[in-house]
Amino acid sequence: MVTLVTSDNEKFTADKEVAERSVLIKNMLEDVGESDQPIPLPNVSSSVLKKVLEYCEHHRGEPLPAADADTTQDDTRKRTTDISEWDQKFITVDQEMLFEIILAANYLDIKSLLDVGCKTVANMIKGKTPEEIRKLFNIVNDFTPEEEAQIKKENEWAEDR
Amino acid sequence: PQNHDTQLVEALNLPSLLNHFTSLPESLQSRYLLMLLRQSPLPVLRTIHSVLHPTFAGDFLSLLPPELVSHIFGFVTVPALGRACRVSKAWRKRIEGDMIIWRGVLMRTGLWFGDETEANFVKMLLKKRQNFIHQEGALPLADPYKVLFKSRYLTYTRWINNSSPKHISFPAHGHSVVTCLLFSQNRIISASDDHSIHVYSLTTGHLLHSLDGHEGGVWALAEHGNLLVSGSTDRTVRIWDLQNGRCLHVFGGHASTVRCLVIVKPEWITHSETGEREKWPKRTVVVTGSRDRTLRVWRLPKHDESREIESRVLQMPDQSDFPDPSLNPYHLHLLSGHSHTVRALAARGRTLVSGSYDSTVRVWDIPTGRLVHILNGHSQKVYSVVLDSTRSSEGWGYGSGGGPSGRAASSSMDGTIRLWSILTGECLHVLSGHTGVVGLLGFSPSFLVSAGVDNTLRIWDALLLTNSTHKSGDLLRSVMTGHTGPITCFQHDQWKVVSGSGKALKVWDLRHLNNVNAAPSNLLVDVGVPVRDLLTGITGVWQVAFEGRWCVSASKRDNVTVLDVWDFGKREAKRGSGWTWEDEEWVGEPSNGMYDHEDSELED
Repeated sequence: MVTLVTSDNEKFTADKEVAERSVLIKNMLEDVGESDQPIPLPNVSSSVLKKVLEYCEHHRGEPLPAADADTTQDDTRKRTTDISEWDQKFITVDQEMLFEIILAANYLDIKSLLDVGCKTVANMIKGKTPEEIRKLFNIVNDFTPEEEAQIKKENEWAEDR
Repeated sequence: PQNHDTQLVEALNLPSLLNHFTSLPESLQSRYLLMLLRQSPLPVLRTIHSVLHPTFAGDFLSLLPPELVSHIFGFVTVPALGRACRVSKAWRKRIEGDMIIWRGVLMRTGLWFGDETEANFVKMLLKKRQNFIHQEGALPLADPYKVLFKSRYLTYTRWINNSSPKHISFPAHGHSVVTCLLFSQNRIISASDDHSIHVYSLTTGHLLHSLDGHEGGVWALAEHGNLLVSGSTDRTVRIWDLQNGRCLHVFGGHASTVRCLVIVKPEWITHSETGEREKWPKRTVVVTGSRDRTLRVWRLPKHDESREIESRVLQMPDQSDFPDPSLNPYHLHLLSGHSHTVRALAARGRTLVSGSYDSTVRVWDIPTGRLVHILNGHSQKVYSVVLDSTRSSEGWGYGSGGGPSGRAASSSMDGTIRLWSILTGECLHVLSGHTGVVGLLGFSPSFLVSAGVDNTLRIWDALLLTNSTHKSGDLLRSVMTGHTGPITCFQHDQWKVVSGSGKALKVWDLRHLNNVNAAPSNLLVDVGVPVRDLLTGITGVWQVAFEGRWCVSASKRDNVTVLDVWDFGKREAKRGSGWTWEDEEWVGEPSNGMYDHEDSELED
């Protein structure tokens, strides 16, 4: 078992196999060797770590992506925005929590969770008008009407025809 | 309302309720509120939702670090990216200006070609932008990769989707054959066996200049910026100023028809042994091939250099200013060795390849004029030679054996196409299948395309061609059999072929061939289906050329020669005049991947 300490000083214990889905934790454990020392995670709050561990627990035993996956390869492979049913349910959280999970996944280096989070945000944008996107993320339209018309024309090519 | 307010104040004044609530632990607060919510009618829930939503909603652009924002947009589809640009200034700047996003989009849509084509485009665009004065307060410019993606995406989609491109037709060269047709910036240049060369406006079709002077049919043409080089049956090579239509030079020397010519621009080449980068040729050169069995290498005069001699040329417009090549300061080399007409040329860097009616292909080193290899194998006249410009691992410089590297393909009257290693001179593949003369060849990163008098176009897998272990028969990807007469001309890129024959001008879609990653033995040979006929019911297509959004052809209709221009960046409205849309930013890329006005001249 591994003990993790969050930013708000809460202690979590998890199976080594589960915790090591985080490359960061895995590397830290390798560095300290066999030890019962708790691992501090100053960038993750308890509410977020709870979610992250829930994710890692569910996906325990699944193969991890190669450590040095070439980023070019990553771009070339067909990117799907499909998310599995369990992940979908798991990631149905408010926006603040969603961004917290993305940040935590990035910090803890859990690539699959980072992708689930980012895909979720991408899917939120998909199929929406600019006004709907503004509403969704609480953004103010700062274009003049002339600029708005220009940018609309500028991006017409990208629409499916 | 007054009444409501009073009630609310009374409710809030219930000290026990509020105090009690705040003193509860978080978990109990949640349960308590949930209980209250369950008792609340829909309008109240709606109000609560509208208050709660913005407290959780936040612009992730400012909440997340930039690399994560790029990662998110990496999952966004192209149409959604277009709409996201319209959300706010910050969003537009972030998306339009993000190189990572657009490089990713280029790669996952299969529009990333590699081989420095992207870098060259960026260089060209940045150069163009140097002269662009950015107005204060104007919206920032997009990342060059976005402009490139847009341009390639439009080339990919519009040629197939735009069913009614803007089309103009106009007569040219009377009843004569059009021998050459090319684009030069916003101009169309056509040459004819009636001795004339015409320069037309690409957009209006108006005749801008008629370049008169040749005393025989013009059979070879190439442009470089504002300079045009022509070769004729009158044995001369002429250099023209495209801006004013004036003849700048007349080079004599060839003893018979100048049948083919190429302009070779300096480009960076990595030395295969030392790894050093050098620019070759040192100056832009012209290579001419003739019926007199020789080739000549000339230095292309610089534009301002020509002006000094201009007056002299104009006084004697019918004579060569340099009738004797030995006295011509621009003449560099005479390459002899072929025993029959030099019919075709191709060149990059130091490497020159010539194909001749003597059935051989020869490889020359341009700076020294030295013969490097004689490529024997064809049993009859060679009609066409092309260089594989994408897989030249050492560039077009010296190979380890002192000779140039890279690959060349040649086609012949013997019905075959041969693929050669320029480094070793060995024949890597013999591609057979055509019946009769194979007159036309073209290379793109994915395909080698051949066309012949057997009415077919054949598409060969250029990637597999690099591997000599594949059987030549496995390399055939598609046979296009829709033409009813010999193919007279074609041009192709990664996604399409435009081909002309006696009766029609056709566009073929190659896009599906790009997606097959199966092993060659599992491939079925595709039977191409033309997307559309651009011209039908004609007597013959002489020439065709395309670049970016534009296509131009020269054909014969009712015994009159006509030029047709299509603009796939404009779609004709269903009724009446006007265009439903227009894509001014569709830049396009030159078919050889090389741009004019690169810093192609070295400082002395």
